[in-house]
Order: sequence, then C-alpha cells, then structure tokens
Amino acid sequence: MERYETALQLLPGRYWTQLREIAPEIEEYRMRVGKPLSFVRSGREYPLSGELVSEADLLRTLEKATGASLHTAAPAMARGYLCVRGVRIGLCGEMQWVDGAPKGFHSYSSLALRVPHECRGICDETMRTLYANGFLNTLILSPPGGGKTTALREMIRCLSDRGTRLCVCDERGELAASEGAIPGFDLGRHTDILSACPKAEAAMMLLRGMNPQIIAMDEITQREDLLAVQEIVGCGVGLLATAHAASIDDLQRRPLYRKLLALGAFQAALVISIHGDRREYSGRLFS
Amino acid sequence: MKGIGLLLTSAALLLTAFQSVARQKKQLDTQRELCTALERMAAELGEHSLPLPELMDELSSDASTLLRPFFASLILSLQSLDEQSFSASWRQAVDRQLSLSAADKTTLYRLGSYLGRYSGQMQSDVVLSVRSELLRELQRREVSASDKRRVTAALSAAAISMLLILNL
Repeated sequence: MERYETALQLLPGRYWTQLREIAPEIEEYRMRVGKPLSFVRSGREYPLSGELVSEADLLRTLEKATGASLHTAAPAMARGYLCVRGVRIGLCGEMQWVDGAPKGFHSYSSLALRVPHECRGICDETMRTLYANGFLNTLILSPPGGGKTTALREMIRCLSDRGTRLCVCDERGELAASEGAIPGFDLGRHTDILSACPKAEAAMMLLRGMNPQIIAMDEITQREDLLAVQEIVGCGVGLLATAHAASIDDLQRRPLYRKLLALGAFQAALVISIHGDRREYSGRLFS
Repeated sequence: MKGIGLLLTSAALLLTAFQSVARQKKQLDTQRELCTALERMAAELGEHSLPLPELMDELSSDASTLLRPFFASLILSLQSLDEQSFSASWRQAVDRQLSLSAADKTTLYRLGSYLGRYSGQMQSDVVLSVRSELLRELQRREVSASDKRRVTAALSAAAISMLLILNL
C-alpha cells in the first residue's frame, strides 16, 4: 500500500472521498478538536469543508494506528508522537505525568499526521557537485516540513547503492518505516538500520558492532545528539544528519547548532528551500 | 387416552423444567469461564502490555466452545477497525456471542470503552473490577440456581403426583 493511502486510511472514513484524488501530494494532515480537518501541501495548510473534527475522531485515528492497543505505543507517545508504517503522528492534549515523568495522555486535542514520501533523484545533482572529490560529512538543513527526512532517505539510498557501508540511527522509525525486519523504504543495498534507540546510544552501538563507513541520523535537536556526533567523527566515520534551520546563517544563530558547528564535524550542508510549489536543493561548503 | 394425556403432560412439565435448568447452567458456565478469561486478560495487560489482537488470539485459542465465538468475533473486528470502533465491536460481540443475563451484559459493555485506550495497568484494573462484579453476581446466582433447581424438582414432582391422583 502507498504511504499516502496508509495515512488517508487513518483518518475518519467521511473524509476519504474528498481527499483521495489529492492524497499523493499531501505532506501532512492536521486534526484539531472542534476545527475542520486540514492538510498541508507545498508547505501551506488548507482547511477541508465538512464536519468538524471531534475527540472521538482523534481516538479512532489512534485506535486504527495502534490496532486498538495504545498501551503498546506508550513509550513513544510519552515523547509526543508515534510512528505507524512510516507515518509519524504528533500528539497534543493533556499529558499524564507519573513520578515526574511523562507517561502518556489523559486526553487528546490535536494530531498531526506526517506523510512520508520517496522522491528519487532529488539530490543527484547536489551530491555530484558536493562529493566530486569524495564524501564530505553533510548536514541537511530546512525549516520544519521542508523535506529533510525525504532528502536524507534519498542520500542514504544513493550512497549505499554506490557501495558505501552505511548505518542508520532511526530513533523514531521514520527513516526506514520498517515493518518487522523489512524496511518500508528502500535505503540501499549496503544499509544497516538500528531503530527505536536514542541517537547517542545507537551511534555507540553501531560504531562498536557494525563497522560503518557512514552513519546517518535524522534531526539533531538536543545536547545528547552532539555527543553522538562527536563520537562518530572522533572515530573517523562519515556523518549524514539533518537539522531544523532555514539556512547556514539561521543555523549559526542557534546556541545548540553553534556548538555543533564548533565541533567542526560537518564539511558541507545541503540546504532545502521552498519556492511556491517547488523545492530547491543547494550544496554549500562550511568554511 | 387418559394414560397418554397424563404421559404427555408430565413430559411437557419435565421438559420445561429441564430447559430452564439447562439455560441457567449455560449462563453460569459462560459467566464462570468469562471470569477466568478476564483474570488472564488483566494479568496479560498489566504485566506484559500485550497488544489486543495478540491477547484475543491467546484467549480464543484457550477458550471452550462457550467463549471461542466471542473472542473470534473480536479478532475479526480488530482486523477491520476502519469499519467500526473497537468499543462498538465489543458491545456487539457481548450482545451476540455471550449467553449472559442483561445485567451482566451491561456490566461487560463498560470494558469496551477502556480496552486498548489506556495504559496496560489501567486497563488491567478496570478488567479486574468488572470481573469482581461478575464474580459476585455469579456466586449469588449459583446459590439461587441451586434453590431454584430444588424448587423446580419439588414442583414438578408435586404436579406429576397431582396428575396421577386426578387420573386414577
């Protein structure tokens, strides 16, 4: 089943007919209690006419996503999301805390369903230019929803199919969207995937056990991730990662990323910018 | 003719009494097995957080013919969550597949809105609370069933004796 179809079927059935034709182009669905269902296409959000979303709709979506077993997704849900066959569902509502730790939700007010896409060839030209003299540790940059994960997935596949031994830290299960042992996305012939493990621990395990030439990870967002980066680079292993920033200037304005750049771990950046309905991929070298 | 009439009337009386006892026995057996299944359900949810499809599968494979259709129908509904919510399917399965009194069915409906929606521990707690309600009701009914059986037997014997006296 296509990914967009998986995402569509998680929504209440009354929206299916209205959305089916445009579903392949949709990047995200937003369900907010008491508001119309909306979808994001080319970075812009559009409301859908019809019945408003209710809390029961949110519960039904979560029920379908987990096979009526929300309790099995509790660890991920306590971090605010769950991942179903590559579709990442972000959660909002009233959180439940037990002994100072988040345990899940008392009630739900919004869901954001991110629809994963496979876009072959989007990075070919940039990779040719950037890697003319061999691989460079690369950071993929774009604002949220800009397509970083899609670009990372494509770069992993290209590098791996060229014979590079590549390991993926897939903390949220979004990159590979594996069902059991089989990845839902083609990540190349020489790729090993470690999922559902925090990046810092995953990086250490991969370095110790899998002898990678490159390690790939999505979304460097916290201090612990910097440790992973430091370990990987310290071992002389190549690195591919993504970060939320519209440009290199934007990246340098953020304290966490300033520290990341200070490590000197990355030699190149692939910057994704959105122009209307089009995305542009440009390669930059860090001075 | 009198003899045949007497025989038929006695047989009808005995059959009615037997049917009533059998129906009651089936309800009690179902309720007893259900209490055992609910105890296991609570343990699996609380200790192992088993996903519902796996849990229903396990319960179904160990269930007797009284409960197997109930769990089998829940397994089917878990495979078609697009069509109906699990709580609606649960209610439907309780209504259609379980031989229980209306009051017991109402007690069981409550579980449908908890199963699969909350933490394993919370579900386990609700399952245990429903189980203890059913168990209390079962014990009360077992005592009354035994009384009822005795009364039915006595009444049947009395009625047959009266018929015999009247016809002699």
